[in-house]
Amino acid sequence: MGASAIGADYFDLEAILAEEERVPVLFLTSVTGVGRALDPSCDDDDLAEGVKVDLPQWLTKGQLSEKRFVEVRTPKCFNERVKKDIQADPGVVNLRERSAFFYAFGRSLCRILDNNAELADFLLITFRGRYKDLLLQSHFAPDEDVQALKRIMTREEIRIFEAGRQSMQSFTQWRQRKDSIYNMAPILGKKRKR
Amino acid sequence: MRRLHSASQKRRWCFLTDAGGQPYQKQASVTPKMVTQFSAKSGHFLPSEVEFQAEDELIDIIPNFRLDALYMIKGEFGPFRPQIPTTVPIWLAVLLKKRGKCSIQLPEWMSVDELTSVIGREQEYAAEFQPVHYHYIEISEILFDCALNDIPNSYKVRALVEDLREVRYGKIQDGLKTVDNRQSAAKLNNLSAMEVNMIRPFFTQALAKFYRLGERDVEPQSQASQRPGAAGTGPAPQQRVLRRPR
Repeated sequence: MGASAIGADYFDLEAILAEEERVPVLFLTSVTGVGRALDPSCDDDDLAEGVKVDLPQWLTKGQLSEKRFVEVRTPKCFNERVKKDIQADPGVVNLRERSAFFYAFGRSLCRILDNNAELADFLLITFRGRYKDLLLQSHFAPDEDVQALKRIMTREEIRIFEAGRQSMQSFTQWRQRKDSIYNMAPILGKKRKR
Repeated sequence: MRRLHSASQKRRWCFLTDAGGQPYQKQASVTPKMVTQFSAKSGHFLPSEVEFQAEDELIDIIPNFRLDALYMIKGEFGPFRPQIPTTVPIWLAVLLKKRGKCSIQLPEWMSVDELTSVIGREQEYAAEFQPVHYHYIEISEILFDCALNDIPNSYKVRALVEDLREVRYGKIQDGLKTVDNRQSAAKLNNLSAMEVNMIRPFFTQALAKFYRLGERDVEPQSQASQRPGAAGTGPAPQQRVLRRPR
C-alpha cells in the first residue's frame, strides 16, 4: 500500500466512514485474547484457526492481512449476483442496500485484495452506468420523486445529486426574484391581543 | 413590500441620493466591488453573486438630466447631458432608470433579429456553442426586471432569451452525458457565466468520482506475479487508457 494511496483519502470523510464497513475474513492462525472482542458469537477468549469473522475494514488492512494472519474474502455486496444485477441495468439497482459507501468501500477493498483490477473496473463501470441517470435526475427530477430516487443511491451519489439539485434550485429561485423582495416578518402581521 | 433590485443595491443606493451633489464618489467606488467577489462558500457562486458580477458590464443609456462626469475606480463615466447617449455600468443604469433619470438602450445582442439568428445557429450546429454575451442570462433578467418599457417587443425578446437558454441548456446536458471514464472531459466552449456556474457543483464532483475510480495504483511487479488470479485477470486492462501520471 503506497503512501499516496493513503494520503489521497486522508481527509475524505466518506473514505473514513467507508472503513467502518465490515469484511468477512478467515483466520489462518489462531489468536489469543481477542475472541470476545472480535466475534460476538464466540464464548471463548481465543479465536481458533479457520474461524470466519466479519471485521471492520480498517482492521483488516495493514498487518493483519499483509502478514497472512487472515484471508480477506469478498464481501456480499461485491459478489457475482450483484455484479450480474448491475450489468443488467445499473440504474435501478439499490446500491444503498448493499453498502452506503459502495465506491469508497470497493476502492479500499481493491487495495486489500492485492490491487484487484477486476473489482476496480467493476466499480468504474457501475458508476459510469449510473452517471447518466444521476445527471438527468439531479437536474430535472420533480420534488416528489426525490425521496424515492435517493433511496437507491449510495451516500456518495447523493452528495453529487444534491450538488446538482441545489444549483438548479438556487437558479430557479433567483429567476423568480423572490430573494430580492422584502417581506414583512410574520410576527408583525399578527393581531395584537389586548 | 419593497422591491430592491439586488442585495448590493442598498450599498449603492447612497450613490445617487443627492444627484448633483459633490462628495459621493469615494463612498460608491469603494464599497460594492471587492467585498463579495470571492464569497464562494463551496467553490461556486450563488446566482445572485453571478448577477452582481454582471452588473459591472457596460450599457448605453440616454439620460434626461445634466451632470458632470463621475469618477470611479473602474473609470470615468459621463458626463451626462439630456438626450446624449453615454455608457455606464449596468448597476448605475438600473439606479438611474428606477428614478426615471434615463432610458436604457437595448444591447444589440438582445434585439429580436439577433436573438432569432443566434437560436437558429445554435440549433443548426449541435456540436458547438455560439459565442453569446458572457452574462446574457443575468443582463436580460436585469433589464426585464427594471427596464421593460425600454425594450421593443419585450414579450418576444423575453421568449427568445428563454428559448436560447433552453436550447443551450439542452446541449450542455448532452455534452455532460458523453462523459465517461474513457473520455473524462466534455467540450463546452463559449458557455456563459451563469451556465458554467449552474453545472459546476455537479460536474466537478462527478468528474472527481470518475477520476477516483479510474485511478489505478501502480504496484510492484513482483507482488503481482506472486499471486496469479488476484490481479490482471480477464480482459479488463484494455480499458485502462487513462493512467495517473506519476
